[in-house]
Amino acid sequence: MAGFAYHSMGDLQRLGEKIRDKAIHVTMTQDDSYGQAQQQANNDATRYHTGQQTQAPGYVPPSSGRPDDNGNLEAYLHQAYAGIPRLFTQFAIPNPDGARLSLDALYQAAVTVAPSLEIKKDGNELTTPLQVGDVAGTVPVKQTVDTIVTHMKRWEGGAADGFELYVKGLETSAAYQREIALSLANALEVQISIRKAMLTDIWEIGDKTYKALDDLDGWCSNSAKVQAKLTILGAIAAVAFVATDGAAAVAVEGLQSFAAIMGAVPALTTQETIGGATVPPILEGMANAITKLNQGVDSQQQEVAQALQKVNQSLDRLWGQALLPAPANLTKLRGAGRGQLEQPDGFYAT
Amino acid sequence: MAPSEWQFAAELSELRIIGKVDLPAMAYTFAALNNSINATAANDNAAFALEGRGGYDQVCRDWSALRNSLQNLFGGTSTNVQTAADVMLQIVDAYASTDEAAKQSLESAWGNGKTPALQQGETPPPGPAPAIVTK
Repeated sequence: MAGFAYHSMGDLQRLGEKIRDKAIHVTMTQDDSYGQAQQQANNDATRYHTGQQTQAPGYVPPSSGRPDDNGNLEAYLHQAYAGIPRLFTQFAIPNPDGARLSLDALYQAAVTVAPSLEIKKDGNELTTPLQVGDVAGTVPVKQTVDTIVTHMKRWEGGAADGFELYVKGLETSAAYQREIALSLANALEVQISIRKAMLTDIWEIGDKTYKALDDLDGWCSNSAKVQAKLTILGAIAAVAFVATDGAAAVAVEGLQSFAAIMGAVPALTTQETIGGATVPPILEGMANAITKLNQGVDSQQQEVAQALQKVNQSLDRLWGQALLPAPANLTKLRGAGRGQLEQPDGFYAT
Repeated sequence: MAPSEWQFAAELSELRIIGKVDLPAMAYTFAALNNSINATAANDNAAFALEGRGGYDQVCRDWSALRNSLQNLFGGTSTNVQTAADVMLQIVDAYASTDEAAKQSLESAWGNGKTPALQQGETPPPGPAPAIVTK
């Protein structure tokens, strides 16, 4: 996500407090909002005395004066709007870019077992391959397999053949492992994208809510209307998936890849209207936008979780191909003498 | 046709290269990958933690399960490759123990920590494979 700005728990708390304080200030100074708040305070006092649930959580009627006089009304508003900062801090998360270290490790793992990776987006190949190095001190699997086969050319017998098959099979099992590493990397790219969109959107909602309240606070303003642009439904589509270079890839039949399951997801942005002639409808618009954001995060993450479950299930079925046991016809020769090694099912030079 | 004495010693040396260089290099590679995937757990908070609500989000469980599988695949592959390497060296020793000429030839090529000429790109591991961490 280009131009992403991280907002911490403290930032979100301050934003929520700023909106709360502005909402109280506008209510106390704008005639229509003031009148509505008086009505609300009186209703809550009635609810309290008749044993009903009050709109302002934990409301206790004033010990002196009327519920709607100036001092008591301001105290009432502080109670009624106390939950606003929490609406913002519920989205607080650590900086998503901290997860990029895991991405590096996954791409390195994929490159170590198969050197060629490319980036694909919406089914179209991008020209630049992913530039990452392999893990220090490691060797390329295919090249080592080829070298071993060369060393084995004069060795025969059932165990020697079994060993050679095992070594060649390592290239395929490494290909399965590489695909898992890429599925993990692609899923993590999406996860980072979703979390960045979530923070961006909650900040946008707060920013636009404050603007609407500020507009209402104007000298001769009698209504406000702003649009908060939500990007959460485009978070998956914003990710360019990394895949193995088709020419270099060893087939990994049956193994589901995260990128293929997600496919080409359309990029959606939505607009949420925040506005009204008094404070309550503006705060209602804010609450509606926050609900949409929560639903968007949930639906996007459900897609990711379900795709990962499919990859997990297909790996369970193919575990035997992804992890080859040491060949039994070789390991049964552990401690064997020359006589046993020179049997047809043994390991002998020709 | 059975190989000549010198050819047999050379073939045993080829097997020893597999058991001492190639397979351990692969075992090291997969162990290093096992370790680097294990280290990604340190970044899970940044990826999944919900500071405001507490706990982790719904992607965490499935992603971690797949990550653990990959880590175990790398670890298991390293262990199995090292098992094959150990048996390979036992086979070399079994032949050398019954063939004095081959044994001397091997000692001359491999004695005092020497390694015979390796093929291009063939590299011994930088050290013993790091300890595997399974989940």
